[in-house]
Amino acid sequence: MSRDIGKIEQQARRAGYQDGLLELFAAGVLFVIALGWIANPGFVGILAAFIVLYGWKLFDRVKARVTYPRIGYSRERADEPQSSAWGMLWFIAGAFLLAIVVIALSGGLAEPAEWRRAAPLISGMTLSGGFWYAAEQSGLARYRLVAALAVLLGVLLWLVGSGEDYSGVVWHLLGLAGTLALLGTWALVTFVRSHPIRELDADG
Amino acid sequence: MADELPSIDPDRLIHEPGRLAILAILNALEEVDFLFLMEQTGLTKGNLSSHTAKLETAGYIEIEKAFVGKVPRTVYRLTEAGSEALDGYRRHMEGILNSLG
Repeated sequence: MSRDIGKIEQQARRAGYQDGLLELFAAGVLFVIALGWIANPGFVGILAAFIVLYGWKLFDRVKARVTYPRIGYSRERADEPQSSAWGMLWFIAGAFLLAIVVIALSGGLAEPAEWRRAAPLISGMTLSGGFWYAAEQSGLARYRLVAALAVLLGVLLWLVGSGEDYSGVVWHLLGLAGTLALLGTWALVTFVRSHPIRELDADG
Repeated sequence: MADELPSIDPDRLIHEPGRLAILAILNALEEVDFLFLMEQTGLTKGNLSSHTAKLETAGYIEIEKAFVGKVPRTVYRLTEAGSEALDGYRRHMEGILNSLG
């Protein structure tokens, strides 16, 4: 019986992710950050914070127009520290530690070129933590796929990179943004086709 | 023998599948609206209204009617009592299943 309750709970959490909007939002964020990196790497942090802060409001508005009229409104719990959220933070901390070890082994921590070369690796490990968390929350396999792809692409670009510039991390972000845009578009089209808009009166 | 078994009489209010599903959904999420509950439980509008009214009367959920712009939205949340009741029900049912081997 408790297993059934668990299934109902996960299905309810998964419902909010099935529209593909999170993938499209993440794709947009990564794309803008990649362009920002090309323009001026020094402002990437500020740019990312700005996009997440204001982009989230836009994301909510789109959800209100696309998702809520079809499957209803739901809001995730934010008040409880969940084990998967801590797992994600530990994973990201571990990823940074691993990246430092890799940089130290491959040429020295004081060498800026090695940091530039390892940037896609750090980006991949960090982003995979976020997508792994989304997979844990929703139970959707496509987030695990993106998490794995983020790491694989990061490793690949680190191996072939020269460290002359930040092109590796830019390609990493663009590659992931493209994948997410495709996945998100596919999920959104499937969602809109399979969930017509429902009309409820004032009771609903 | 009877002393070794946990009571087989569960919380009747939660034991009904529709109400159990409503509580499980509200346990997983911070808040949801009527349409979301309908979609997830598969209950009809009338059944859902009836079940949520019973759960509200018992103090297990709270219902808030509001407007988002010009659109009415009825929002449902699990209360502390509802959360404790669901945990108690879960433990109770696990106890029965464990005692049966």
